[in-house]
Amino acid sequence: MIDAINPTAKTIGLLVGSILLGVTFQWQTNVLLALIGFLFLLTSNRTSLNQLARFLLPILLISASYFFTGWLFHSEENLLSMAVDTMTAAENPALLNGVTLSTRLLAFAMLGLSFSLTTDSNELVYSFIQQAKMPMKMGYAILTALNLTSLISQEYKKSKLALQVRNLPVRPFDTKPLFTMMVRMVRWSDRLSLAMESKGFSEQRTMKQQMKVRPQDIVFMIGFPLAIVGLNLLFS
Amino acid sequence: MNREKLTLRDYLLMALISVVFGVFYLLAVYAGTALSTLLTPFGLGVLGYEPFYGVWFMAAIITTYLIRKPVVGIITEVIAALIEVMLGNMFGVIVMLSAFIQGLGVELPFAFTKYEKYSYKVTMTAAVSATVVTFLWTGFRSNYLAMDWRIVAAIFVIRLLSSLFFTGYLSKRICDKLDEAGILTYLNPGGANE
Amino acid sequence: MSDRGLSVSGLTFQIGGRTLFEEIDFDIAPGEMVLLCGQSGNGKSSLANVLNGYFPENGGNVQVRHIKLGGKELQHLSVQERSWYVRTIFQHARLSFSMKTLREEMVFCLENAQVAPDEMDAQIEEKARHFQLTYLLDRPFDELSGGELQRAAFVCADLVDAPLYILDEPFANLDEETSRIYMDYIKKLLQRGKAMVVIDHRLDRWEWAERWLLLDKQGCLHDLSLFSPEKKKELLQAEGVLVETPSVERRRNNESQETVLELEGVHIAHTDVKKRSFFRKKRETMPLLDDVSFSLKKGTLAALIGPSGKGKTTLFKSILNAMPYQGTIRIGGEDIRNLKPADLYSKVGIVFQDPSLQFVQTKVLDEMVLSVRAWKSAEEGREEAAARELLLEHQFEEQLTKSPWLLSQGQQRRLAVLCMTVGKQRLLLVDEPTYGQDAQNAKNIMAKLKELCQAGITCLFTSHDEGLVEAYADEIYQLKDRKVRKQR
Ligand SMILES: Nc1ncnc2c1ncn2[C@@H]1O[C@H](COP(=O)(O)OP(=O)(O)OP(=O)(O)O)[C@@H](O)[C@H]1O
Ligand SMILES: Nc1ncnc2c1ncn2[C@@H]1O[C@H](COP(=O)(O)OP(=O)(O)OP(=O)(O)O)[C@@H](O)[C@H]1O
Ligand SMILES: [Mg+2]
Ligand SMILES: [Mg+2]
Repeated sequence: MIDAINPTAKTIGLLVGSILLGVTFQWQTNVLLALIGFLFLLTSNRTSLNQLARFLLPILLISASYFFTGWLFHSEENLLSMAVDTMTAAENPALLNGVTLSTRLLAFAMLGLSFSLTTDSNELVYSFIQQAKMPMKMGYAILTALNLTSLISQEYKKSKLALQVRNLPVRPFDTKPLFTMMVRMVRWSDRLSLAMESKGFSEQRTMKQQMKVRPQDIVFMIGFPLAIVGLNLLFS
Repeated sequence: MNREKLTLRDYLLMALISVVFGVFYLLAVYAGTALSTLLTPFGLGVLGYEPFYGVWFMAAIITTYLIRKPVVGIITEVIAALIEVMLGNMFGVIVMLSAFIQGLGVELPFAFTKYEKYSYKVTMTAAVSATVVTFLWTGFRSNYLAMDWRIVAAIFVIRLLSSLFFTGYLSKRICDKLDEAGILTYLNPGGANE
Repeated sequence: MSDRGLSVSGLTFQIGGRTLFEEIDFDIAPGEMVLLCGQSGNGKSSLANVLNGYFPENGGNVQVRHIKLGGKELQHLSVQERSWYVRTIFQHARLSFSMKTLREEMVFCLENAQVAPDEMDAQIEEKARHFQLTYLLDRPFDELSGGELQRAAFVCADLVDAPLYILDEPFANLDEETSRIYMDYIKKLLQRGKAMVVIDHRLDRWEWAERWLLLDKQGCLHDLSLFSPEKKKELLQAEGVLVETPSVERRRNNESQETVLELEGVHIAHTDVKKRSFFRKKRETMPLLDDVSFSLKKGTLAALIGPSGKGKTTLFKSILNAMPYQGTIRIGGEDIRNLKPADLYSKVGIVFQDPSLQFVQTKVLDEMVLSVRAWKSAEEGREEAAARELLLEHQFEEQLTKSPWLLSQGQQRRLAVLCMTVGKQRLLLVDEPTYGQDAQNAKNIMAKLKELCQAGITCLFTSHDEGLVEAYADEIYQLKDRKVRKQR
């Protein structure tokens, strides 16, 4: 179902949702949101379980690292205020602090994934152009660059090889191949823009794929942030 | 200040450079994750990404230098974020907001010079302002108030150093070299921006 | 003067402090094809870019009485506005596509022309059928060979009706067979009454074209069809666009019996990792070479030929151990798998198809110093002097402090070869050394390689120029149907 939502509406809904999550300090809300995100992903046709697992691993890792930081390096005032706030936290307030921090990160990540894994790049850009007034030039520049990704990474490898063959070893974060790449990108942007403009590209054009906004899109856009507010009220 | 509208070529340059840095970012993400894993048992995992934080500002500062028009830094970061999201960044749409803030941080000092000065002084200032602005933002996002002040201070200092190195120094060096290589005539016909 | 064709009058163009052409006039009638030739770097592409509007919008200084097409004055229009009149096909086809597949790209073109969306599909199908490219419509551009990309560029250009076509080196990198298919497209378009300007260094392909225009060193344009055949030849030779077929005696140099490169039962397959994203990947195996065995003796200048996209460049990468392979590759008797990268690269050098990929400095001299230092081929402290000597020896005296990125392609390639040989490599791999060069330059580059070989280096180069290979190579290896056969 999340696949079919208009990308602009989805962006706004999830963006506002994520900001609201920023002012949420209840682990229960965090967990529920993470679950909702997980549900979105499960029902999407654009991602598989296999793929999902590969993304979840690093997320759990980072989430764990936040847990330990929150637990071992908590701030005193925060614990104090939390102990007063949440009377239920009779157990270990430091542990709770860790749980809150790590579930918060988990929730952010699940919402994030349910955007990036379920949105088609062409649709997103078309929708931004049609609904969010993104300049035509910007939209198509993004699509063009995305479509050249594999060529760019090939070139990057080639420029590294070219250096090695000259007996100039390439270390990680070496700027030499990066410099060569920058030169190329300056040249490419020139050629590409000439090619596109000489094919008649400008702001005045039709678009074959029309992205529509339907009532359910609006419902998602407004409903999702409202749901977070609701959850917050419920648990506080 | 160059008030001309952004051209298709400008947008393409921003997008292409974003993709190049996408590859580079991935390297930083791997390095950061590895470091985080190492530090997690000590509770210092959150520091793992900080040494590489400056890498995230590089695209913005480089395109600002190359194009020399207002809002280029912000737009580049947003494009970079969109591209990252499309290629599968796990933090999704929130990185677009982070990107906006990063771009803003990088660009502020250039705006104060009316996009006319590109010296080390300005790039180093950009590194500092990017650190401060993003620190406030990630502080809000990860709730630094819930962490020990010492670890928060460590985050700030490491990020600042990383930013000074990658953003203030390395990016400026690459750009100067591009200028020296004589290929920027393509971007500034007539050398109007010298 | 025809009122329907192209008419250019009093055109002068300056860029970078140089006048590339001055006060030139020419007309092209509908259905007429004109070949534009001249030395490399003398401004042919720039002329094309003045016609399509890139200049002066993007620099340079254009003065012109008029550029008329079908009676309409074009000189004040932008690139985009001129796209209704002029369609350009660029040399590097891959970089003229912005979408993922040919179908999407065609939709992009039709959208630009503001065609109604519901008419698009029919138009695309019909065009693809006409050019027999239906099978390519939904394949990603990343998977197409050089020839297929060029053909795709052609279909896109033909999608919207424009009276003038400009083709900038359309066949660079294409093998003869593919270029014949392509040539047929060109003839089809001419029959439909298009005017066409073709820029090319290979003149032999265009004997059938009615008119040749020569842009000379002084920036004057000569219509060669006005001259007698002898005079025509004389002019072309004076400009270095045409050279006497070089009669290099293919003397096997000092008959060395020492084997430098040896391939034994080499198989190469591309494991095509299709990146859907940084994390999501799909693998596909595509065999390129099967059971390839051959060996090269010291001092040989050998050519590797074969259709485009069949694995020549890939084989080079394997010899550098930068591409996985099965079988054995030996350099000077040692298996390259057992060599450390630095040791391997001290024995094998490569010059890429695009030599600018190999530069990292901002001055030619620094570039050379870097190589000298990396190979420790001069005593410490004397590196700069040694580099300077080497450059002076090879006619770079005027370019010492110039940026390598601003050299012409021919100079870049010579510099790259020079940088490669300071490590006293024994084997030099050169990918398409004469690509995009005029005949004189091509001759110079090949002569340089020949000279290196006579001095004891072994050299393997790829080329699509049969004449050149015939004239210079001691040995010819043909890559066909995944096998490498020795032809000579
Ligand atoms: N933007 C520019 N700024 C400065 N000089 C330029 C620019 N563009 C081209 N030139 C110079 O103009 C000259 C002509 O270049 P052009 O590409 O038109 O040559 P060409 O005849 O097409 O050469 P080739 O046969 O090698 O393709 C070159 O010397 C080049 O250095
Ligand atoms: N990194 C890669 N991944 C997958 N396929 C590739 C890759 N690089 C090249 N190929 C494919 O392998 C084939 C051989 O390419 P290669 O560049 O070796 O051909 P070539 O003989 O040098 O052609 P040309 O004469 O056009 O230079 C092509 O079909 C190409 O599409
Ligand atoms: Mg040219
Ligand atoms: Mg090749």
